[in-house]
Amino acid sequence: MKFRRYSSSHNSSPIRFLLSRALLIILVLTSLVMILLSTRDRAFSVSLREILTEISTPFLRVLSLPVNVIGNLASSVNSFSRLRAEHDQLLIEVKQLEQWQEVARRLDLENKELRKLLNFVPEPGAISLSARVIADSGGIFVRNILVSAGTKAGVTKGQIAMSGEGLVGRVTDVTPHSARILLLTDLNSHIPVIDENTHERAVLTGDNSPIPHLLYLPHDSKIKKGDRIVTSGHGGGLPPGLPVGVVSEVGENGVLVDLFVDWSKLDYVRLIDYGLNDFLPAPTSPIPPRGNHK
Amino acid sequence: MIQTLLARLRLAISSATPLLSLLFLTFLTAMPISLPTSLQFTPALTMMGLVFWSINNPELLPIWGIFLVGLLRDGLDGGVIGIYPLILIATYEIILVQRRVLLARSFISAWVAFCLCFLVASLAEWVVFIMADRAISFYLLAKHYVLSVALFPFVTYVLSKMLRMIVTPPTITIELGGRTR
Repeated sequence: MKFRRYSSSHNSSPIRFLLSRALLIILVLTSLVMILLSTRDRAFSVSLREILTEISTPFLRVLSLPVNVIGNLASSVNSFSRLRAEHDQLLIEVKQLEQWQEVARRLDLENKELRKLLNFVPEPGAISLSARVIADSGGIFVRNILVSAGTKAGVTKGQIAMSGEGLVGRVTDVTPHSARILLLTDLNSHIPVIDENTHERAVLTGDNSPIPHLLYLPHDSKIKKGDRIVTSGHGGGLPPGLPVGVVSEVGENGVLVDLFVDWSKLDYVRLIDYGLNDFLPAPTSPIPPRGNHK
Repeated sequence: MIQTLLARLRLAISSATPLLSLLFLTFLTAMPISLPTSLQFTPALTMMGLVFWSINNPELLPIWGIFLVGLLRDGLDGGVIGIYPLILIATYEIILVQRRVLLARSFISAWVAFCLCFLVASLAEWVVFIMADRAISFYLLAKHYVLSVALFPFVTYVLSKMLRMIVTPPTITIELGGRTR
């Protein structure tokens, strides 16, 4: 058997060669113009990104299905092997939760009485919907995911994304059939949080690594490893009390937070609208515009 | 007539395979695959595919196709639009210039070519994102680079199988004396 090898030299005419070179120059210039516009004009960047996302959403939905199925299968096989141990662990957790349920009931009653006494204005109720994760940017420069619900399902910019464990991020771009969620680990993610133990406020800032860090802690901060971090509600953009993570390190590298969300098992997210978007502008897209600091 | 149609269909499939494989690799990069937390990023599969096909079958990769693949990758990534088309086109042209040398040498030359092209591409992307106020740590960049370089042989192994089976199937030449080879 003889394998043919393609020759790199064509019998192409000079006109064809010139046309191909012209096309090359046009495409290179188009790319350069796009880079300039992306960094300077947010509207252009968002519109083009939305068009590309909307075109690729049907393919992503189809391609991500076998990935989800295989992932679930692997989880099920894994679970079967630890069935007995998980069962015993769950029995212990149920007993603990029953005790907490009793405490929660008492606190809820006390809360209602106190609110009546203070004429407290309640926060608006939350509306939520679930969406499947169909893409993960997987890049090192931008950390975001795409979900299979968009404006047609009622998703809007600024909505909060949660997993079963904790806060995942916020919706930054929406198309009719998909939405892009900026993750907590992204460089552009800045969430006002509070330490449940010391009640110190800080800002959870991503750096594109899996473990974000806390900024703007007071100089005499008493924060320590193991402290639970939740949203503070400061600024009105996020409701208080949403679980974020646990302090994993306090040292020379700063204060690092181990997030509750398990990135390796993020198949579905809950998108929640707390009706707080009127207080703050929508979160910035991954690439903020340059020079517009008004 | 059916044989002519089949032959044409086969030709169409083999001509489209490099571009389709690049598109598939781009979508694969964006798949929500459960990776260990320490990784959290996928390797540069599109770039690996481009280097492979640029060396082996560049005439089956139209430049407008490379541009669209880069645009798709930027759209899925959510980053600066336009950076990846530029990187892919530049890589393609550079590989074309050195193609004769790379074809004549072993697989290691192709690997080295990928390492060099990807190094320049990563640094260029890093600079552009710094200009867009998105400076990431050099450690992350290095981790991504090492992972992609390490996976290059495996990805190109799969692509070379595709090359043999679909793009350049074995041919039978018949000599005048009636003997076949």
